[in-house]
Amino acid sequence: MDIKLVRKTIHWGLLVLIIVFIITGFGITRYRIIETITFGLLSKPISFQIHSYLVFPLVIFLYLHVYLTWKKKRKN
Amino acid sequence: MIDFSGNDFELEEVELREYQGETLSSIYDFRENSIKGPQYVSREKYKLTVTGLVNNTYNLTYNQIIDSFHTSKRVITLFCVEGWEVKILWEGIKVEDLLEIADVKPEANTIIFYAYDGYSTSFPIEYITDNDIIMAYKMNNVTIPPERGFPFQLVAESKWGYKWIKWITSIELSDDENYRGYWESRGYSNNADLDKGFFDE
Repeated sequence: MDIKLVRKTIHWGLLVLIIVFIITGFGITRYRIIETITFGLLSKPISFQIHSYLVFPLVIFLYLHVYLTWKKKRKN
Repeated sequence: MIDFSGNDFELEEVELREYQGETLSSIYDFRENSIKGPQYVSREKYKLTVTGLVNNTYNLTYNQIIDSFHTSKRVITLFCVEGWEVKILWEGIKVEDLLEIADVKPEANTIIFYAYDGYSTSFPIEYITDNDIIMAYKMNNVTIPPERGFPFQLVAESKWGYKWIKWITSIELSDDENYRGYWESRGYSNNADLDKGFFDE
């Protein structure tokens, strides 16, 4: 398995997760704005559900991100 | 020297922060999350309509409601699905008293509340009568301000915050158990019990 590719996927994946997590967070607390911007696509209930589902993957990706970075630095 | 004897002099209402040994939240601790922002309802023009499956459809003005019904006070915490909560002393009239005047028809099983901004929510009638649910016009001993739902906010005890409808303008008695309010039709639980998730039916 290409460890470089895995590391890259984890790092970029974490970035995407963080961005979606923040947007859906605003989709809950500032739902009128987010609903308008997304043409009703990201409603408050949908934001809530996505936000809740993302917690676990976010923790896993964050852990892997830290671990892989630490491992790479240790190797160097 | 200030003259306090004039008839037009009115003391400014000051909110209570403690009641019978319980510390209360402030009316400023709420987060504004209504569907169209704060609504400004005229006290003079306001009318509450009770309609639907009743033998006596009627309208009442704000003053008629305040002056004609017994009021009760309760400290109840509102839990919002967003994660915040506020413990408030609510003062209002029992919805059941309004229903008594309306003379609800036997086939009615659902009570639907409508608000000035188009918001709505519903409950089984038994929930309202069995729990002595009130429509509050005061919070922490202060008349509910427009931002918080003047003239009336439902104090839906043991239900998630989206059931605590503000700016109530009409009450409809219905036999449609499947009626879904604003958030309920968008996926939130119609039951909205606090001991369950707000997406669980």
